[in-house]
Amino acid sequence: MDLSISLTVNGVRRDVALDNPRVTLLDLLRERLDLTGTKKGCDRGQCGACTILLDGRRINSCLALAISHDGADILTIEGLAQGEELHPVQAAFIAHDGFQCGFCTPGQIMSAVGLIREGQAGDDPERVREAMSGNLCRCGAYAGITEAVLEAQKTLADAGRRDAA
Amino acid sequence: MSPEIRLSTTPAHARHGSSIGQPLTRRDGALKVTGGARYAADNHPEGMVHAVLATSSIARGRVTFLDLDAAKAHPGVLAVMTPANRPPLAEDPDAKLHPFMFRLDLLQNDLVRYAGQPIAVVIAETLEAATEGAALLAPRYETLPARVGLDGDTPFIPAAVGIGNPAEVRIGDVEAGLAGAATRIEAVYETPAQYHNAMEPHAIVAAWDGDALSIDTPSQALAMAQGRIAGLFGIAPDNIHIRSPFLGGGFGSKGFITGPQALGILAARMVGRPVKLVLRREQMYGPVGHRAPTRQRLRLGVGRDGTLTALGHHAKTTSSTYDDFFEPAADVAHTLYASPAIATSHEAVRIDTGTPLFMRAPGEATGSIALESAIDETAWACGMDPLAFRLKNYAEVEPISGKPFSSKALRECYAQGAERFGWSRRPFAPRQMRDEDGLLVGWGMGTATFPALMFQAEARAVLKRDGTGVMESGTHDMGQGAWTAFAQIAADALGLDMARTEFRAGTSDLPDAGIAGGSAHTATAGMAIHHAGAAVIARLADLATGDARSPLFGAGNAGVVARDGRLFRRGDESRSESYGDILARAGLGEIDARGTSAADPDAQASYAMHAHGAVFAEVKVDPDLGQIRATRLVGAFAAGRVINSRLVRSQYYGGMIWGVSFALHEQAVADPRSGRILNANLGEYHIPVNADVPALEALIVEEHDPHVNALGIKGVGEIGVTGTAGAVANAVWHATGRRCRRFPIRLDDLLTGR
Amino acid sequence: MKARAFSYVCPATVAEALDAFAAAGSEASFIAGGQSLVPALALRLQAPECLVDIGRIAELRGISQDGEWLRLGALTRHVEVHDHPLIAACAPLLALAAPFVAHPAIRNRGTLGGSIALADPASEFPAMMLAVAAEMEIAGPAGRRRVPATDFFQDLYQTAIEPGELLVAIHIPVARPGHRCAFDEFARRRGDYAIVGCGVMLALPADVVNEARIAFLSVGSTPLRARAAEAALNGRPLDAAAIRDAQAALASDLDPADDEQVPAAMRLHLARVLLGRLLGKIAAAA
Repeated sequence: MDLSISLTVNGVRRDVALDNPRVTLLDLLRERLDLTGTKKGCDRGQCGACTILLDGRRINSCLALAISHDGADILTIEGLAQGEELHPVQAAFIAHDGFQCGFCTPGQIMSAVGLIREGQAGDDPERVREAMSGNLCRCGAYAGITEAVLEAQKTLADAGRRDAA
Repeated sequence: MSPEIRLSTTPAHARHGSSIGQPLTRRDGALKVTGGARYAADNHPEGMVHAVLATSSIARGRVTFLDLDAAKAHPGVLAVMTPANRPPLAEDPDAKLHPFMFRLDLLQNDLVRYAGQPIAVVIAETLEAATEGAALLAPRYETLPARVGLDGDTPFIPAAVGIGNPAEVRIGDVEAGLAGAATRIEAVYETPAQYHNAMEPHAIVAAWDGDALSIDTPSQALAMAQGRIAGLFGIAPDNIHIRSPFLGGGFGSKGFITGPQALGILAARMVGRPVKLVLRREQMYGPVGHRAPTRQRLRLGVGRDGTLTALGHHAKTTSSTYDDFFEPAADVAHTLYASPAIATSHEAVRIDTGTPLFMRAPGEATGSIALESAIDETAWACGMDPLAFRLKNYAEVEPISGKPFSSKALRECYAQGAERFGWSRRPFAPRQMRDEDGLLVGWGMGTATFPALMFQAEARAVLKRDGTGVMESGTHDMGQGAWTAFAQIAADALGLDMARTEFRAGTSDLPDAGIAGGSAHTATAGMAIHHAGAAVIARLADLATGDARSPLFGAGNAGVVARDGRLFRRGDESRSESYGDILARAGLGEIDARGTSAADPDAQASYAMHAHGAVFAEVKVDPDLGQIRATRLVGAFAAGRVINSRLVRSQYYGGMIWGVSFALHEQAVADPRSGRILNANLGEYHIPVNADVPALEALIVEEHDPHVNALGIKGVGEIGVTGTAGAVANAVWHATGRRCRRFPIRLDDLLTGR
Repeated sequence: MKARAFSYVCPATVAEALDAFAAAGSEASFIAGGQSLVPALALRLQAPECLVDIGRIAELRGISQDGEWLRLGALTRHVEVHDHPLIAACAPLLALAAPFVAHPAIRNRGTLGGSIALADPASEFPAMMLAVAAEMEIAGPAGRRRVPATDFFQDLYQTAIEPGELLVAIHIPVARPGHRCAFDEFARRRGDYAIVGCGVMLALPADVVNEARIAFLSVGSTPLRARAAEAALNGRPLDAAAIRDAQAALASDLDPADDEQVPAAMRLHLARVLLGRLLGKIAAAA
């Protein structure tokens, strides 16, 4: 059984030899690629802390077997900023205090980036809340999260950068 | 070695004078939005292996068999730790030497005392192998009938509730007050078991080097954790180094080292390699504490003029069979409403559960939703507006003690909150309002309260010749903003701006910052920082004012002001000298000093100290489906001095969302037969999602408290839960005319009997 | 108990997939989007010895129209059901139900075929298969067959798919201009499994209902079709009296059990409210 895969993670090609087909993308990132920004809150798709972008779309990395994703293009929270320059979603989360403990934050931010790319929420806070509801925050930073998503979306739209997000 | 924490050094806002009071963005913000903030489970020391717990599926009995051979035979499994081979401990995990010590399940025997109790630990090269090994253990049990719920066993009166509060307290004669009342209300309210469910599961990475122990684990009380581990393992506290720079939420569940964390340390000792042990979400519904369920009976008597004649608050709760923690739910009645007669009492049953623990506003949250509901019911029975009734019974002094309040801006909270919410437009009777979609609309309110506590803490301040300063205190950032707020206090204490102040926190080798709990961390550690800063400035002033070469010579300590890295002669700003110049002339690279803090016993004897608030809630209820949505919340809170309004507002929001959750969402359901928690996951244990959260407003009401501590700080972390839960429940009544007394309110509570 | 030797194969064709499954014996599982299976593996609810990953089989992809029928490959993701113009045009009921399926991150990976093969009675798409009169195309060692939705869902998590068979596509009759549909569900918390959900599809030529199909989720051990309610509507104008009769008829259609969330009687009540609102909405729009 050949269990080696190759992924592009944050723009870098990574060849990985898996010793076990049970390894999820989440555990692969955290335990084997030292990308611990992506968090494990429930390991069964109920909290969203592990949200990453897979081929441009937000997914729960705890629900993805690594072995099934040979050749995939992955973006994690570590790959979002351009050097020292934060992505507009990251900057907006700071400005609107869209987090407290910060544990769900990488997932919230990746989910927000995915949402903005989906381009379906518009500037309606209610639709943003709905579309961000797969990402739990126990501290209760939802008000700031919603404001941050709306602002970042506007920033990106203004900059005409939606596709570059 | 402590991890390097790269905090932002440039405040987002220009500083005008003091750093305290500036609504700065979080200094750990960039780390948290880039994935750079390192939580315990993010560590991966060389040679690290993984430990996974096997936990009991029964609530009471004994483990009779574990398939050790199968587990050990699985590729990658290194060891299986059971009661038979667990490394020895220096202290019995069932010892209880003081009330802050909780008994732990560390494989001391084969007995099972709650569902989810650790019964073995499998250690393997990979997480997958350890997980598989734990599954292969396939335990068998001798099972005894589980005792479940508030009626699970014979009730008794606990010796104390909370930490050392008397179970029964009374002033006046409640029975006489009720007998003489024009209006009497008696009602029973039930609140469920709740689990903290911090987003970050409890985790530990432990590595031994001889008798030295290095640990990454989230802790709300580093020094206490260090002491507890030292006792268990028989090593000196100084030999234990704990790093906890960021907690992924705590809410009380990370206040004490829990059994699973200690098992991670044992596993590391057993295999002689660094070990990571992270709880699975479902494993957080047993050994790491919870909020116990309550059944509360409220009795209120009111005279013809609308003033209370009696207030009786009785709470029944549960605890474990093997340890003591009793939710002090009735104590909230001590402080809020004036009544000549108040009686609070508690009783409890012991059931087959993990020991309950402090959970965000322990006692206050549970008690508040019952008391605020009962107050609302009473106001209605008296024909009075709920706000008017609360004002009529406003406590000018703390009712239970007769002490004056150190400060109490609750009237202003009521006024500002009501104004902002539009309370004056509320129809008196229920079921009067509908929205454009035909949904029933209701408005309710509740009073929020939480004691202003102080524990003990220490800090160390350093001033350096290069004009910078360092402040050290092992504070804990679990989301409240410790990295930012304490740095603001530190900068002011050192007379420096933020950019020249380094604040060190989050590790056990720093001065003991006490506990991040009881909403007291900012006040407690903040005062230690304040004192340390004053002490080091005093040393610096001594150097300058005693030196004839200094422009400050002869000014004396009282005559010097520290600001912007310089000491100024009071009253003559033209005479000043920079910190660096003073130190350079003295031939010193740096000077340091320590400061401590503790509650002032004189002030405590003289004053009642509490934060207060008023919360107004709007809900909408689908009359046919019973679906409830909280749509609007306005809270107005007075909690002394605000260090950083951006962070404080977030704390209020978080608390208010917890209040909504308490009233409408969260509840652990125990199987009445097995004692297992049936919804031990985030899909079925409902905490609010983004779309469940209403439009929120938190008003910060100005309050100056000259007694609570020199900085005038009260706490803000927990008060938001109180008041809100009751406000939502009262709004549901106002929308529907139906009084729900069992929480969370379920749709069938609103639809039955239609 | 023996240690699980967990193997993994990723075939390129349906035939290879069936062979791989057959070679592994009964201890194999097909995996597509994995949104239900991966947590089941993690929780040890399922412990297959072999995972046959069908995610790269081209034949299982794609949404296409062939005359009167719409074909959705089993690997069609929930998000495609949500977004695809052919779905909006030819099977609008599915597009209406799609936003209610879990959360966006799940919808980006979960597949229609996976959802239908799992047959969770609380899921949206299995129930909607009844309402749109879908036929499931199943491939097996003995060849291919098409099973109407009404025969497909047999018991709790039990479908007409035999061990070793694979759901390859879903065929849906293209909705005609006179067709009307509506979907709604009711959950305690946004995005959760519904307490009750309902989809309605009916034809309203000349203002008289025919071909009413009403399907419920979360009211029993399988997705359920409310035939008595349908009968109460067929051949009548969609007026208040017909709607009332359809609501009343649900008593014989649904026999929900008590559960943690709501008592049985309440669930029936909620189903009636939901049906009444959906029919009222269609009537108002007509």
